[in-house]
Amino acid sequence: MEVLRIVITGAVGAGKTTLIRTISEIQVVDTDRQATDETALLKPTTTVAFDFGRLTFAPNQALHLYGTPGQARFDFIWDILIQKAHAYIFLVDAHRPQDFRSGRRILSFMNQRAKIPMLIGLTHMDCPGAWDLDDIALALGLFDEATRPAMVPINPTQPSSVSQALMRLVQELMKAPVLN
Amino acid sequence: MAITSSLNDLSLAELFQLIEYRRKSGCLRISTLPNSLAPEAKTYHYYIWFQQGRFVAAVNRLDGQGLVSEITKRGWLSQRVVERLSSRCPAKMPLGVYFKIQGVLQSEQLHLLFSTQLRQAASLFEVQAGEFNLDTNVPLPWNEVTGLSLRSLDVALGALRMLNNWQALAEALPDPSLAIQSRGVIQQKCRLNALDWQVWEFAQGTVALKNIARQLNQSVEKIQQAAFRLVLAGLVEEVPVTRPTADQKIRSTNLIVEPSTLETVAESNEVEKPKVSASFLQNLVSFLRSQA
Amino acid sequence: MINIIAIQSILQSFVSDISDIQGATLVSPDGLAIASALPERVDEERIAAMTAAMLSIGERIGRELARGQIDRVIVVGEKGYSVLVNCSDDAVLLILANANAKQGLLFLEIKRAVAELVPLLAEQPKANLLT
Ligand SMILES: Nc1nc2c(ncn2[C@@H]2O[C@H](COP(=O)(O)OP(=O)(O)OP(=O)(O)O)[C@@H](O)[C@H]2O)c(=O)[nH]1
Ligand SMILES: [Mg+2]
Repeated sequence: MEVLRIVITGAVGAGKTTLIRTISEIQVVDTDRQATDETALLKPTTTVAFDFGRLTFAPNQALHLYGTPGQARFDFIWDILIQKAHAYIFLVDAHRPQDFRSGRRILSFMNQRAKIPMLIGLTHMDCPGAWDLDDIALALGLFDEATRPAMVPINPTQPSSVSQALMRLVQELMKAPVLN
Repeated sequence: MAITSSLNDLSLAELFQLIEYRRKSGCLRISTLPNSLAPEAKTYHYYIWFQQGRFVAAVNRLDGQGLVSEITKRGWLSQRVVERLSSRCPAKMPLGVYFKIQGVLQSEQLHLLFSTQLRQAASLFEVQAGEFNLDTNVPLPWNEVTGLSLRSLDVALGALRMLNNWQALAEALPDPSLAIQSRGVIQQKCRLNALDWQVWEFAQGTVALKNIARQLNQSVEKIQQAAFRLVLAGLVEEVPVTRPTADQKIRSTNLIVEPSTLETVAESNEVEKPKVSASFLQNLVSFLRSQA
Repeated sequence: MINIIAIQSILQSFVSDISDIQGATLVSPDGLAIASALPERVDEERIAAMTAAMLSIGERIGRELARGQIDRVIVVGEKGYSVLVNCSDDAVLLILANANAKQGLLFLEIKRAVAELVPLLAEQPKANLLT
């Protein structure tokens, strides 16, 4: 079995679990628990270990998707998951500037732990008050347009949008020397 | 396009950085709100104007009389003269520039007026509860403009150097467990102070801020503040510590769980991943394309 | 509201009264510490998050493999035990014990501690109804 492991990360509520649910062929193994911290103001449950989804696209070839928790107290899980990933998507909720700071910290954590192909997905772009792409880049500490990672809008609730984003990530993978 | 949020979510310093780097023009409206420290406080509105990422004016009124009232308050010109002259100021010319051309104000006076506006903006960096709205679709109020301008980042760094109460920035400061890593750019002209440059010497990502504090014999807060200024100036980014420093290696023997284990294993942990073949990726793409 | 002070004191005496037990913490299912009696220098916030993650994975494994309701998750190392016990829907108990601990005895003590904690975790403390 040939497997490509992709991690979906990002701050609380960015849409990690949703994305994996949207694309997975199996019922997603999620570890969502009732939120009792400030996450509860945003949504009822939050991921405490990881989500796991799978997409088998050819005999003996599959995509494994792992979603991380969003809160920094789970950074040990970020570490475990990213170490085994071939590539990752970092999601950021474009209409919650209050989460950009924690997003930036996750991004710098991931970037330090794994130099692997990645993509930044902007979610909630359909929501009022969504920031535009270049402003978000800056808020994430990505000052240099020439060297920053690819950034694309993603709607994790829509299968076609998720497929497109994954295609974009594969493009990044093709650029990188992970090929045989 | 407009950006609206709370100062708790995005500090004024970070906002000024955004304005600078994105070369934004327009009006930043800041409304202070009562907070736990000052529950009786009224709401005040301030307006800061930017052009191409540069700070050009700050006033606390929208009637266009902020600058002239400063001039008359100082007794530099009479109300009558000011009114007569300002009615003749050509469109899209800063009032300050016009007064200077007319010979009624000197450069030094314009500088004083501009620093008054700067000070007003700087004082807002201590505001703990407030909302802001950045509207990039409004024209400059030429009546309020001296004609002088300053990089927004320098306004922010200047304000942070003088800041006494850092409460408003508590959430924005890098965590003491993090380190700083140089971005590999050198900007000599940054408004940083001596301590900032001392901290900058540690920008290799290997020493946690709390340990920098110990080495420099400074409080952790002072080091966090210096690191924040360096981050803001675009010189460094905050990163998790890469290698353990000497004092992190000291372990108590019966300790079951190591709080800093992650830091110590970070680099050695790169797992050898099975590679994927080109045909694998090809298949994946065609599959995804059929779904997209 | 749950009685944090009472919980804290149960954990405290549990750790100090039983020699091989080194620490205990009660954690919410989303990884926040409710009360702790942990060794010094142990990062409570981190341990709380790990406890929640571990239990949720344990529960998932239990479900996938049809093991029924998960009672506890145990991690045994050369230097001792970490035992995670489901106390209620709102709380997980983590116990740290050294390698000298006898497993049967350890579980018995944990069971006793849980029995003391559970009434305090209920919305309407049963203890009050009894007195
Ligand atoms: N309108 C809109 N809603 C979205 C979008 N992306 C995600 N959502 C919604 O936002 C919420 C995201 O929740 P989750 O998927 O649980 O977020 P998460 O990133 O897994 O969060 P944690 O596990 O708590 O870190 C869900 O209710 C989604 O339906 C988007 O692009 N547009
Ligand atoms: Mg989730």
